[in-house]
Amino acid sequence: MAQDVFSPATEAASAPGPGAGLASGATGVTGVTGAVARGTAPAPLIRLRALGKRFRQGDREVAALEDVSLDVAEGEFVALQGTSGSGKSTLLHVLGLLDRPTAGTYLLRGDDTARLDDDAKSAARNRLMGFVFQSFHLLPYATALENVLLASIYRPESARALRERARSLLRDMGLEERATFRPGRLSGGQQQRVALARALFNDPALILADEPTGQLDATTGRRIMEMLATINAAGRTVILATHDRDTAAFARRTIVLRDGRVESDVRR
Amino acid sequence: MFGARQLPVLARAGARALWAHRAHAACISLAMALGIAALTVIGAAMDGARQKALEHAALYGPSGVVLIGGDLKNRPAGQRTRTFTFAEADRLATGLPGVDQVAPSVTITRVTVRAEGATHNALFVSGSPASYCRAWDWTIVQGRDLTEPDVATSARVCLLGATPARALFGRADPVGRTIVLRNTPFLVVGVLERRDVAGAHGDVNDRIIVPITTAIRRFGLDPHNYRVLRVTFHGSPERMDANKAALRAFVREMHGLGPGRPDDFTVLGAAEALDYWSALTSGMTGFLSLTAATSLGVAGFVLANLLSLAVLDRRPEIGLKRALGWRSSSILAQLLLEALLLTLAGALPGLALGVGACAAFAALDIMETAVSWRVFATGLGAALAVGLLFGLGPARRAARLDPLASLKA
Repeated sequence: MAQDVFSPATEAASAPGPGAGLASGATGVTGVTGAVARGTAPAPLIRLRALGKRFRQGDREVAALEDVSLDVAEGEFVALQGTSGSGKSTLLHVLGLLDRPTAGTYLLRGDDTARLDDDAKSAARNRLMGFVFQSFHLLPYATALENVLLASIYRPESARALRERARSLLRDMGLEERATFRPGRLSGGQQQRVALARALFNDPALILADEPTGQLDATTGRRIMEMLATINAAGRTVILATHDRDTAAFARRTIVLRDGRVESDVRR
Repeated sequence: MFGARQLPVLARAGARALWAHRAHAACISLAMALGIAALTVIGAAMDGARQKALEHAALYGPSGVVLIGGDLKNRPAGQRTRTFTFAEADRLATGLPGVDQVAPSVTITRVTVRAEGATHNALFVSGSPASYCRAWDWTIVQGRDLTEPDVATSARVCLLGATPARALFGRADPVGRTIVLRNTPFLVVGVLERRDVAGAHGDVNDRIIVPITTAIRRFGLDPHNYRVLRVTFHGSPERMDANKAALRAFVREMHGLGPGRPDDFTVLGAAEALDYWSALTSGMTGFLSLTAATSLGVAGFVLANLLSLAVLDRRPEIGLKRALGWRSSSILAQLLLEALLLTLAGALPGLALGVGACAAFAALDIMETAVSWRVFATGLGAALAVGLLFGLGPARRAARLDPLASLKA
């Protein structure tokens, strides 16, 4: 039943599988704070309006993002493509509530993220989002299983049930035999799959991947991208930042950024 | 705030992180251990001094005082030590309300005692009226107390303290045996209970008691004047202050001391003994308290400093956890738990080290210490308080770290 692991909570709830019970309560489908007006069309997952991000570098001000306006609907697979310095990483961090825009608005499921306090942002990151980083970001002293369980801190289930879920996610990633290995004994591809399992732990609606293949060879990178495509095909929204055209080609929508502005936004 | 439900998870995460950074953790714990060891030794030394004072005070009993001729505190130079006459003792016994017993005491010190080939140098031999044990709050463990007929007939009988009893007769029962004091044989009629008290002038168990009439006659003492009177009172020990005041007024009147003239006697009870010992040890207590506070403070600053470095070192971990949605309060809680774990890990060996040092000091006769659960609890409590107090700064700094910047660190 690997399908249930790759699909978000909305679907798991309608087709109960092993992940469904664990998912209850972990993901709010009505928005970050549950405030969605009834009777109107559901808000897009992400709505950006005139978003800007400036920061000081020495005594000059640099615009990392300038007037970015776009919507991302539930279930999309979006690549943010651009060269280094184009603003794609900054945009991804803003979307992940790790960075704060200096202009414009960011609505997450209709909620203005500017009004979320630190705890609410943490909750949104924990339950609504899964992160995959270029350098994997696994704790070097923890096993693969423990690294996956880092996402489980606020889950109400028993420790045993949580370990079972982490093990099942690792199994889906083909890492069943590696659960007790530390990152140092895993290949790059294996480490990124541990990170993927961790990102999926709380059945997030949104996967944010920052150059997920950046430190992997072509074949391994392709395998990771195929997994992200599978995750997306099961209904989760995937947003990926990459400088690489081939990697971006896995997405069904490519947004090209240049100097912090949207240069093109193409759906296939 | 974080829920209590997360505490076990956070404690495990903290323990895991500490184990991963165990060299660092060991340094912090070691600093704590030394601080706690110092605190334990100091606490035990202070308790030892206090216990000694209490034990000594207990010698006076709850309802008795010792009336001594002369003002012990401000003795005018050249003044003849005032004594009490037999008639005065009698007036006290009959005229002072609430008095149970007035027992004069005469004493000779450093007396050689022989018995069946064994020899012992007794610290002191006292002459006492009947009912020595009732007057001085001692207990007879073998035999009987001195009686009126003993005193009336100047009988050559004696009570042995535990020290001469052991020195002269070993484990055998001394009652019914004979000892020789200054060429006079005495029949042992009773043995006093051993008291574990360090006296001001040495072993309190090193005493021999004979009837006062016998002592005066055999040792050639002044039959009319007594330096020391033991006065005991009826009623509850709470009345002691009033009793002492009444006694003082009575003796002043008896000695014809008008207003403004100083006492020519001293009243010593448990409270006075405690004051005396406290005065002796208060300087040391103050100094030791300061030392204890300093050593704990140093340990605390070392903890805070090393913990700050550790937090700096672990920014990527903290950033990652924040990115994964850990609330900053959870980061704070984890680091505080780590500080507590480090403190505990240091406190236990620290306490052991402190207890060991106390045992060594006791064995080498450097210092009297009393290691009690109170010392343990104080040490542990202080350690945890220091851990929390000095861990709070670094933990808060960690909780406030910017997730993104830490992740990239």
